[in-house]
Formats: sequence, C-alpha cells, structure tokens
Amino acid sequence: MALPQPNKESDSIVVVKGLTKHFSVGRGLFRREQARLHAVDDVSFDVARGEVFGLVGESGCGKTTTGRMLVKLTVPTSGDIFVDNEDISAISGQGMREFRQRVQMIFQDPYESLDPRMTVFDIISEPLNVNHIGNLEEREERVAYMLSRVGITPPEMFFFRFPHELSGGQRQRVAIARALVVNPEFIVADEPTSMLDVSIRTGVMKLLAELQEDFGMSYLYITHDLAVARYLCDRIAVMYLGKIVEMAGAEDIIKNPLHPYSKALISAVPLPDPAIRRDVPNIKGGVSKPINPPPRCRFYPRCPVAKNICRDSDHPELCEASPGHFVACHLVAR
Amino acid sequence: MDALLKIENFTMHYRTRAGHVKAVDDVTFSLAHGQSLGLVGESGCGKTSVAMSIMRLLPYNSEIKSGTIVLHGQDIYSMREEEFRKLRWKEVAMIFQAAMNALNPVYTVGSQITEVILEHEPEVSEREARQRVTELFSTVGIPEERMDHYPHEYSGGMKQRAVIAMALACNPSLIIADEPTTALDVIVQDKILREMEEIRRKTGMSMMYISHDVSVIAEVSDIVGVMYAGKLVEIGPADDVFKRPRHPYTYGLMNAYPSILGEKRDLATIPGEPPNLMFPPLGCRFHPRCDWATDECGQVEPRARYVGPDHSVACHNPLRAPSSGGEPIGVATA
Amino acid sequence: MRSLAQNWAVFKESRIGLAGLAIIVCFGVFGLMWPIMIGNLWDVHIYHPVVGFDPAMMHPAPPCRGHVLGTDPIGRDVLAQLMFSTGREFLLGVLSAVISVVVGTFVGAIAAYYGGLTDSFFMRLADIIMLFPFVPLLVVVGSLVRLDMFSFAIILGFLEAFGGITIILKAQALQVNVRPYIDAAKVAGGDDLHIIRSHIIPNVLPLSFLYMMFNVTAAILSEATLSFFGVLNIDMSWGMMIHTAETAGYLFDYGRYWWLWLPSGLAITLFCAAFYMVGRGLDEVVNPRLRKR
Repeated sequence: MALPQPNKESDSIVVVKGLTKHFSVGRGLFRREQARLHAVDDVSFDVARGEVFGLVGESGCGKTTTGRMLVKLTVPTSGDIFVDNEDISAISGQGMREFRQRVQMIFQDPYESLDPRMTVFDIISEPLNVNHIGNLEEREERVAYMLSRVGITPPEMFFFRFPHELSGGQRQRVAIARALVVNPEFIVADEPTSMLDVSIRTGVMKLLAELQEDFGMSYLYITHDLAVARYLCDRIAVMYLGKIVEMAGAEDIIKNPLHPYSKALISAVPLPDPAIRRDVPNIKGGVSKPINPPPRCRFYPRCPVAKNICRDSDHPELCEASPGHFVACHLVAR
Repeated sequence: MDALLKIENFTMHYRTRAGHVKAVDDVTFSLAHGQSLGLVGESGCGKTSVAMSIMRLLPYNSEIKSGTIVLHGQDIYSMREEEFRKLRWKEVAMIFQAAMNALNPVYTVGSQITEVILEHEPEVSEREARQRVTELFSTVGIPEERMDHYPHEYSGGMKQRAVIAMALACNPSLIIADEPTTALDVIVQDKILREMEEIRRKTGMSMMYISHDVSVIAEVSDIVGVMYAGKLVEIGPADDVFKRPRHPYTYGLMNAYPSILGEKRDLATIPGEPPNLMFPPLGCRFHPRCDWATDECGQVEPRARYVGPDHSVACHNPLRAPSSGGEPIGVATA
Repeated sequence: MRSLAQNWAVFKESRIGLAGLAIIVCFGVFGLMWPIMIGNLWDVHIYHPVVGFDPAMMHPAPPCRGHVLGTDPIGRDVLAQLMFSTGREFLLGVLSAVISVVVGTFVGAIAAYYGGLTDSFFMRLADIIMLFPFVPLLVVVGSLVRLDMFSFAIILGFLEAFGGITIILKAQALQVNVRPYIDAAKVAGGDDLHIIRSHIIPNVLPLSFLYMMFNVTAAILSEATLSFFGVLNIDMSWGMMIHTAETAGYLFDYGRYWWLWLPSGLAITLFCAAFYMVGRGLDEVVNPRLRKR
C-alpha cells in the first residue's frame, strides 16, 4: 500500500509567515467602516521536523483559527503557509490529495468528531477510502494495526462498534488512529484532552507522546492549559488577541517568562499544593475582542507595567531577547 | 461543634430502563460552619448527585435507599416538600454546572435575581429586593448599571458572577458550587475563586466546591473529599489528602496531573476505566484498577477508617505515609 | 444513536406508534384480500369495483346478504370498492412520500452544504410553493391534464419535495454541517459529494423518515379532495366513492344512505391517522430530547 514518504531536505516541516485572518462582523451595508475581527494577525513561526510545538492562550486568542488555517479548513486573509517547502495556498487536485495525507488534525470533542452513524472501521478507514489507498484487505490490516497502536485491543472486536458504544477516552483514541492512518508528517492537535476525564487524559497524553517518538511526526499542540503544554511540547508560543507575544522552549518560558502576559498566565495557574499561596496575577481586568484594534500593543490596556511608548508605538515585533527566546514587548531588553 | 451539614450513610440510586444506577453509596461526611469542603472526582463519580441530594433537587427516577442528610439539625428528607422549600435557597443554595448558560436570555439579569428573592422570600417587597440585588452586584463585583442588561451582553466571567450573586441572594449558610469555573479562562478563574473565598471570609458561610480539577480544589478547600464510582474513598484536611494521600485512587489522581512547578516528571496513569455503576465490581469499587489490590479487596467492601486526625480512608490497605517509609508522593513543590 | 433493534425497542414504547402500525397492518391485510376475493369468492361480473353490477336488486342497496356494506348508486359492491382501493391508496401514499422525501433530503442537504445562492434559490422556491394554495392549483392542473393515480402521485411527490419539507430537512442538514466530524471528513480528504453522501444525508435520513409519514397523510387527503371535485382521472379510490355518492345526490340524505360515505370516509380518516400515529411514534426515536427517560 503506497503511502506518501516525507521529503527530508529541509529542517522545518511547517513554516508560517505573516498569517492573518480577519472576520467581518456587524452589518456592512449601513456602517461606514466595516468592523473586522482580527482573529489572527501577522503570526509567524516554524515547526521543525519531529518537534512538538505548543500554541497556548486563552479563549479568543486565535490559536484554534491558526490551527484550522494550517489544515486548510479556513482560508487565510493573507500570509503564507509552507508545508514541506510547498506553498499550500495554491494547491489543488493531486497536490491537495498529497496535502491531506501529509497534514492531519485531531479535534477537541471526542463526542462530536466521530460520525455517530459510522462504524469504527469506517471512521478510521475513511482517509484511506477517499484517497483510494489500498484495497479492502490492506485497509483492514492497516486499521487493525492503528487500533492496536492506540491501545484499542483486540482491534477486530471494535471494527463494527459505533461511537456511542465507546467511552470518551476510547473515542479520542479512535480519532487519533484516524489521524495517523495515512502516515502524516504533521498533525494539528486542537485541545485533544480537554474534554476527557483526568485519569483518562493522562493516558491519551502519554499515547500522543509515544506515537510522536515512534513515528517521528511533528505536532502543533493547541491548548489553554500551560501545564499540559509544558509536559508535551518542545517549544511553546503564547498568543494574545491574535498575536504571538512570546515564543521559546517550553521549560524556558515556564521558568523564565519575559512578557507580562505570560507572567500573568503562569501565575494564574492553580497549583495542586494547598500549602502554596500563589501571588495575585499581575494583570489588569477586562478581556476584549480584537475588533478593529488600534495599532498599539494589544496588551496595553491590561499591562501592569505599560509605559507611554507602549501606547504611542505600533504593536511590538517579536525579537530575540536571548537565544531561542522571542518576546514581543517594547520594555524587554534585547 | 455542631456541624452545619451532616450526611450519614447516604445511598441513592437512579432507576433507569436498563437497571439501577448505584450513583451514591454509603457517603458520610460533615461540614462545619464557615468551613469549605472540596469534593473532587471524575465525571460519573457521584459528586453532582450528592449536591442535588442536599438540595432535594433529585429527578423523579431517583430513589434514596438509606441514610440521612441533616441540615441545621433537621433531617431534610423527613420533611414535606413545602417545609423544605423554606430552607432551599435560604439556608442552602447552589451554583449549578454551566450555570452561566442557564440564565434566561429573555430577561435582564437584575430582574432574574430579583425574581429569585421574591420567590423565596414573599414578605420582601419588590423595592427591597431590587435594593438587595444592587448590594449583591457590588459584593460580586458587577457594575451596578449592568443590572438591566441581558445575559448575552455579559462576558463569561460576569455571567459566572451573576450566578454567584443569585446563589447569595437569600443569605444562605451553605453554598454548593458545582464546577463554578470550569468554562472560564485561567486568569478569570483565578479572580472568581479569590472573590468567592473573600465572600466566604466576610460572611462566614460554608462552601462546598465540586470539581474534577484537583488544583482548583487544592486552592479553595479546607477539607477535601475524593469520590470514585459513587463512593467517598478519602476525606481529610486538604494538606493531608494532597501531601499524604492514603487511598490508591487519590494517589493516582494526584500524580496524573502535569504541573508547571518543579522538575518535569513522568505522569502516572491509572489503567482501565471507571466502572459501570449499574454493575459495580464486588468488594472495593476501585480494586480492578488498583496496583495494590489483594484478594480481600475483590470480595469485601472496605469501610472508612481513620488514618489521622479527621482524615479517613475507605481502603483495606491504605498507602503508608512517606514519613514512615512508604511510597514517595509525587506532588512537586517549587 | 442506536441500532435497529434498539430503535425498535424505543418505538415499541410509544403506544400511539404501535397502534398506528397495527392499523396499517390491518389495512395491508385488508388490501391483500382483494386478489384472493376477486379470484376465488366473488363473481367478477357482480363484484368488480368499477364495472360490476348486481341485477338482483335496487341500487343503492343497504347492507344485505351478498353485499356486506351494500352497493353504490351504480350497483357496485361497496366492500369490494373499499378493498380494491386500499392497494391503490398504499401505492399513492408511499410513492409520493418516498419521492418527496428522497428529493427533499437531497435538495436540503445541498442547500445546507453550499449555502449562498444555491440555498437562497431553493428556499425561495419552497416559499413560492408553500404560498400557492395546493388544492386549487391541483384543480387547475387536473383540468388541463388528465391525471391518473400514478402521475398524480409523482406530481404531488415533487411538489412536496420542493416545498416545506426542504426547509425542515435543510435546517437539520445545517445542524449536521457544523459538527466537527464534517471538518474531520474534509481534513481526511473527502470532497463535497463524499461528505454530502456519506455524512450529511445519513444523519438527516431519520428526520426524513419521520416526515415521510406525514407526507403519506397529505397525499391521501389531497387525492380524496380532488377526486371529490371530480378533477382526477381515477376510476376508483376512496375519494371517488364519495364523489359518486355526491354526484348522484345521495349525500344530501346522509343518514339514510350512510354506507355510501361512512365506510370510505372512515377508511380515509383511519388510514391517514394511522400514518400520523406512526409518525408520532417515530418522533420519539428520532428526536432524543423527547424521550421520557
């Protein structure tokens, strides 16, 4: 059965440059200026081969929209996405098919991401089906293999079950098997464990880590949970209102956050130790939506250490404050 | 000290078409005035059922098999509905799961809370009720002018505050908060939890927090109770339960959470899945998943026994505390 | 989502659904008796529903020996007419309902999936069809074109397909369209046709079955009404039986000649009611929120 093989020439499997997505909101006809929601604004990063890259932020920061653009479920307003050195905005036909086998996605909701009318076998073999990969026997073998790899054994017993007969953890494993069945090089995982129970969550997280080691694919791991990101990711980017405000190695960001928002985020995470009294996170109140945002730093209204320069200049660019550690803040020394 | 709430050997089943779901089994604990109790466990463990039992809001197919719930010295299931109605909301109020979605979208928030007051305290005039709502808004931190706004004009955090105000409306001695911050971002969650604790400190009321998030429970609870498959497997002062868990499930739960503190460590998984509560396993309900299970565990149900002051465990072989050379406890500290 | 066996178990709980099903089965048996009766027990010259004639008595004859439900003004046996028409009514109802639902499901799925102009077009078409008074429209059509049972069923089916049912099925398809598993199918590489065929339509179908039941009712009643007005080119149906009685003037004295309208009227009512009842029973199966558990 012929599955696409990776092109090992370049170091980064995914390169994102200036990715932007704006949505129109409000009635366009009778307003002078169209209100636009800047869901994702000028986001750039790259994911190396075999790397787990974490995209972290609160709801509304644009992380899910970014993920959707990377799998071509949403069309960017502007910017470029390169997968394996190929600009994916222009692909179609055979190129599209290859893309769909190279890039896959795991969704957040295990109860809604599986078609309730399809059997487990149909669900996992669907990517093989629509891409005309292999004959029936080969597909059965592959599906059985994937099921046992994700810990659902004996696989044949599950072929003809329906999603409603499985638990949340099992459903998510089926979703993972479906994503992996075409041997992708890059997977966007959108909060795959946030809707699972705690004791199940760990199992799925460990499975994702194992599979990553075994198969060597790269992940874009989207989550709001910093602790999970720290556990799974090599590098983490923190997003706020459509922009990346800090990007560094996972341990680096957690232990030594430079951007005031990252600091507040980390200090707000509850700790499983009753003896520790956390400080109050240093951040001013009020969340907002990035609708027609002014050009200044987006974090300015909530920043506890903002100065005039933050209000008067444009939103700061991402700069390398120390090797491998990028921050978008006027006040951080280069 | 006279306890505010005393639950003794409480057992409750749900009758369904397929069989009896033994949702709550032989649960015993008490809550003193001004204390906060955190009930932690995964979905289906019975914690919400316990809350609904205290509020006497169980569905028609529920059946109380045995045990008592005593509130303010009164056995609440021995009174008639009309009698209990005098207690409900005035002595004990509840913040339901996803309550922010339960706000009626066609009425202003202020009028909904006014309605609640008038419902439960008919002697109060409408003007007095509105005055009280104004005070409540100030207590929970919502600007007064928002009283006449509709729920869809509120942010997530504000809606949660409105729901807290609704629970506080009749000055209860006990508030049960079921997953009060699950749907909120981490910075807002931190703020709301701090505010709730501040309210508790000022008014001297007792709180019962219910959550699957171990860290949230760690931060707000004086006493922590761990539930599994309808049973209360461990209960004790927060510090004891977290630092010296004696029940294998508690131990597993504490180690299943990635943390942003300390060194990055491997996570422990609890193998298997929670049992079907229609046919719970014989003996200890956790034994099929327990690393330390013995033959006795599969035959005899463990009774709760004290392992420390106010700290009890329902286990035949409680784990030894680390100070006496037992299993190392993996909860990391900074 | 449940398997067929579990769906049946839920349906069984609905007494109204079971009652409806029982009535339909009775009608089915009744209709199946026709070829047996006419082949073996009844003399075709007397008992033929259209051209039969019993010379032995005055017509319309009240129920008597040999004619359990009497005869109509032209001398034809009423019971034979009832029995013969049953099969036709089944054909009419099922044919038009199936057409309306198959076409309606497909149109609804496409409108929901593609949105935009496609959606607007079909929705406006549905609005126009719903605006038109059905019966007068069919009266006009019937007077221009001679419609027999078969062609009537087809026309009715298509009219209903593009009418109100499309709106309902489209709404359901819209709900399906936003589910993550549709996204997952796209990411897997499915093209539009695959997604509509393998995901949207199977998830809309249960609702379609439900509305199919209600469409049977509409079809039967429409035919009865139009036959009553004499607009259709149908030789025999329940509606025609009442039409015959009316044009011969016997409906004026409805008490005295009750066998000319009561059996056929009851047949229409009961048949339609039965399908409606099955529809109600199916509602519990299809719509999980209604379930009492």
